[in-house]
Amino acid sequence: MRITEIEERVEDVAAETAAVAPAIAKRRAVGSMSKARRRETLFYTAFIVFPIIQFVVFYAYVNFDSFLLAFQSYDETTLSYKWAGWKNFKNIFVDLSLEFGLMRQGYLTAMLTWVMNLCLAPLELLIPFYIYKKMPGSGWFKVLLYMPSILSTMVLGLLYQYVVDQVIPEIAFSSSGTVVEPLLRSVDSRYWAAWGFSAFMKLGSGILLYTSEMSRIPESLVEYGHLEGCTPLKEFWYVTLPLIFPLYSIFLIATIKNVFVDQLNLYTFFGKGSTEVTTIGYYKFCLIVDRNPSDFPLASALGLFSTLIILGPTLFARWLTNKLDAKAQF
Amino acid sequence: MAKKKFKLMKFMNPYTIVVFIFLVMYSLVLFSLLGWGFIKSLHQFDDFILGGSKASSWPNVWTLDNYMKAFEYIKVPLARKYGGGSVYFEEMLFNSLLYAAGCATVGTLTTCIVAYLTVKHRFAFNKVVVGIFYFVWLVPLVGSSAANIKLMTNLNLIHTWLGVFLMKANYVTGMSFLIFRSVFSSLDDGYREAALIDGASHFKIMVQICLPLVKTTIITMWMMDFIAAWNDYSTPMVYLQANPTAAYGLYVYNQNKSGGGQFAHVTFKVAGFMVLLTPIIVLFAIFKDKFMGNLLEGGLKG
Repeated sequence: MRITEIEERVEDVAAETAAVAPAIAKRRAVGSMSKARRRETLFYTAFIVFPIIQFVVFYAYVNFDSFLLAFQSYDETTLSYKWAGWKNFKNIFVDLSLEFGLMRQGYLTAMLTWVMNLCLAPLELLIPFYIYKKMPGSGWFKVLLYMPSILSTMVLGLLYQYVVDQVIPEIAFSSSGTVVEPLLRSVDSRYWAAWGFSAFMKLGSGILLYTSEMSRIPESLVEYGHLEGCTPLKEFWYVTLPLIFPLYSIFLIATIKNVFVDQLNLYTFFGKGSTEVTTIGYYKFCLIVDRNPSDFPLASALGLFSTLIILGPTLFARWLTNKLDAKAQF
Repeated sequence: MAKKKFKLMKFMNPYTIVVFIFLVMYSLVLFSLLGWGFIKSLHQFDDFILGGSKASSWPNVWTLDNYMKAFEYIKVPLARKYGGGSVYFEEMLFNSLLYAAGCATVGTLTTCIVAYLTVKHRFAFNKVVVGIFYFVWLVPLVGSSAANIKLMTNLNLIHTWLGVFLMKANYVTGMSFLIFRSVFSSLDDGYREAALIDGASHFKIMVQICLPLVKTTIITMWMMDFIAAWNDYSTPMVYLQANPTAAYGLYVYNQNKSGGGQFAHVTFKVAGFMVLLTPIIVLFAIFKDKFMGNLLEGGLKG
């Protein structure tokens, strides 16, 4: 081969290499990104897999099994569950038709409690507003309202039981000779005494979240309101409430969702002994607390029945709160 | 002085006065309950049997003996299948510490890490993870406790520490997930990007850069979970009877020593109550600012 031919050949190879160099560089770059993405995917999977498995086992599977359990009964001889069809639901409907049926009473009490808790809603918003506006004693009251969230409900409940059942009747009798029935022991006043304690504990539960959210309201908005002559209540209605409405809707939906879970602290006060006043949440807890397998099917059926009742109102509440939300932005 | 008077006059409207009076009454109720309990814990045991004391009377002799005796008298009998015998108050307090610390750690860690992954790493699966949370929050599936007990029994996890911690290691309970997502959303991505450019692994970035930046929130949520678990008596009652906690033990002791002429035991009971409340009050007194600080700096969207 002559030198010129070799030179020409070298030039051709150089030209071909230059032509494919961008493609090679691109392939190298894409290959590097895939490697980084692979590493990230591995990291993500490694840490997400446990919570997802936990959810699948302790929520998805458990709720599926609860659904199946509602249609089963426990055989004491074979120590296993067998198909029972609608038997558990028939028992529920029979009880609901009895005037003094425990489940009937439980559902009625639960709904009454829900209505009473709804009546508390204005107070649950106006008290954080009082704290947020730094009105007299707000610092002290904020701490005090938060205390029931961190102190044991069981301890406060038992202290409350002693005070309303023993201390108040004693003081009333020794000071004025008036005979006052123990409020929790007496069937006539038991529900109101129990609800009163429950409301007392519940009042400050959202205090931190509400005051935190209210403190995000721009000062300029508030000042503008004052310039327009807003009273505190007007400011609350026209400025504060629209801005904290998303947070309030979360609490509202939780209140509806938990209507058949609320035990009204009856187990704290009476153990399994309160049959005259009962909620469906309390009744269900009494069924499962001794871990007797023969009670599980009825408890599951009650749970499924309660879910069917409350599902619609919960979704409706979600839709309604979305509709009412002014979508006000901070 | 005039400025102070003017400020006070500004608050003289019906709304402020009504709420103020209500809050004063609320304070009185809370202090009455705690005060009565503390005073009863200072009675001598004999006060009620021999001394003629009643529920509403002051102690004849003021004594702190009940706090010592609580450790002697407050006990929970264990079923034979769990070894029999009795568990005394000091062991119950240890169990409470283990239960509360364990539940708080697994719960907070799981929630924090899942929130971090869904905010800082872009994967299509994040929609599923967040969707699960909103599904659980929105859909009221009631009454699965029986099936849960059945599962724990079948897996031999009932009355075990592992079983309880596995149960609590979820991110769908409460609002911590939303709070952590809010906090991670407000974190600047510049830290992560700079670390990535320097060749740090994702694990290192999470553990050594991002989590320390939100440690205040982690500590606060951990303490809230700790307190909730410390006070919880119903979960140990159902799932941890082999290792009774103080809250569960006090509840059982109260139920066993109630009614008839057993009011005298109230001295030990309320002493036990005060011992149960004290660590929480101390924790709150030390970390009050963290507890009551602003958890929602980034806002909260439902």
